[in-house]
Amino acid sequence: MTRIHDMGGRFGDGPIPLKKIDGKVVDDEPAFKTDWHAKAFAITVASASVGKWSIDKGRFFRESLPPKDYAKFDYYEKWSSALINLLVERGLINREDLIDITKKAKENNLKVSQVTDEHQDVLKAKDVAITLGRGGPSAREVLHSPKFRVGQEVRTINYSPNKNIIGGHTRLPIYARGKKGTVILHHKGHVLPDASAHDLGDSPEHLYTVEFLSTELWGEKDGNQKDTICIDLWESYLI
Amino acid sequence: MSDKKNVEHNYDDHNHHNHHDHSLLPEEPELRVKAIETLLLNKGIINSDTVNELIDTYENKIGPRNGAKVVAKAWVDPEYKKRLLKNATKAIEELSYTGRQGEHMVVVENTPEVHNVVVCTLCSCYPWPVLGIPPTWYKSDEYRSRTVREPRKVLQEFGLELDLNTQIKVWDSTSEMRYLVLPMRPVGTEHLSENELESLVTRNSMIGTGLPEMPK
Repeated sequence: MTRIHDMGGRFGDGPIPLKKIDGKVVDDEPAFKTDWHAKAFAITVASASVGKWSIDKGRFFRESLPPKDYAKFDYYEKWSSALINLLVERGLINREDLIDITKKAKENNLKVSQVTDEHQDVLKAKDVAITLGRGGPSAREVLHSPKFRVGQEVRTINYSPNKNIIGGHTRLPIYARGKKGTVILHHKGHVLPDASAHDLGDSPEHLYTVEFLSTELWGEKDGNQKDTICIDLWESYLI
Repeated sequence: MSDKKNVEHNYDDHNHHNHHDHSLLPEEPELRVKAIETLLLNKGIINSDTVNELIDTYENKIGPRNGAKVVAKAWVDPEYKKRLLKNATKAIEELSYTGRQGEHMVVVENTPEVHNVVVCTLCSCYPWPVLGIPPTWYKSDEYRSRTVREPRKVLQEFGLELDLNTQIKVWDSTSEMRYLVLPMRPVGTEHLSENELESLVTRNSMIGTGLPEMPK
């Protein structure tokens, strides 16, 4: 099965929440709508330097929030909640810390103390530009040759592909399981999220973009005869 | 026979505490973030200058004007366009846009026959070095759920009516590949400079949910 984040194709969501003036889309949203959005973003990015979780693990913790929270939370509430859960899992903070800081927050008594012993891996302001500029490439060498070639017809597996962990992270959306498509791009080897999200190493595999007919995914009635959907899929997702 | 093997490997059974710890924090989001920030500063896990630097970077330095420069250059320089379509990561690096959430770039070109639109149904993957932080609508359930199933209706809500003969290609960003749409250069812009063209390139035109502006 799947988790609540895997919502491609779902029915019931209303109009796209766009700002419109006189019926015309106005695109003037700033990078961060509120100060706390900006803070939630920045503390998450900064904490990863110490927590050393992979991008896949970060995603997995967001999508593993209880479904009721996931559905209710604003985007940056998901980020900040997942961050806390990651920090506890990594042992960098504990539940007593959370209970204590919550007490202080409710007493309006949040104080930043003079920190004399910063963690050795803390991200420094002077290193922000170079760290972001370097990023975290996911390309890895894979020794065996690719199983599929561009132009080849493939089919996705029809179950959750995480081989190691039931309910584990994967990037094969449920709407594209058991479907037939055509390989249109081969991106060579990339870290497998299904492993990386669970601290199981990179386990790189060949990565492909597979193009599906809209009618293959949604049926003749709901699909569109002309349109296609292109999805990046790892080799073990395909047969 | 029992299902022992499976049970041992079931993520939720073994980790049922991990994903609920956030509920110990204040419910109100602004106070919750303030509490986490204070805790992390006091623990020496984050540094306040770094937090400010990160915010300043994405508020003032990295945003969709970067992508607009890439598009305008591709419109005026056919050799650059070739390099961009062949190896987007390298071609974008020529303009010094690199790194986080743009490590592996693919540029997809709109033509009279094909219109490309980018979504991330599973989360909110988006090419930060060229477009910055994604707007709220891109991260919304509505955009994530509907774009793969009914792209034409979604694009109509953006005011974009495509010819029925135009194929729509939806790119669901499920990996670390990041997609940037190269929109078609508006007609009647032959006399415009690269800088003037750049000002016509909208954020939505590079996601595929809009077209470039027409020259005034």
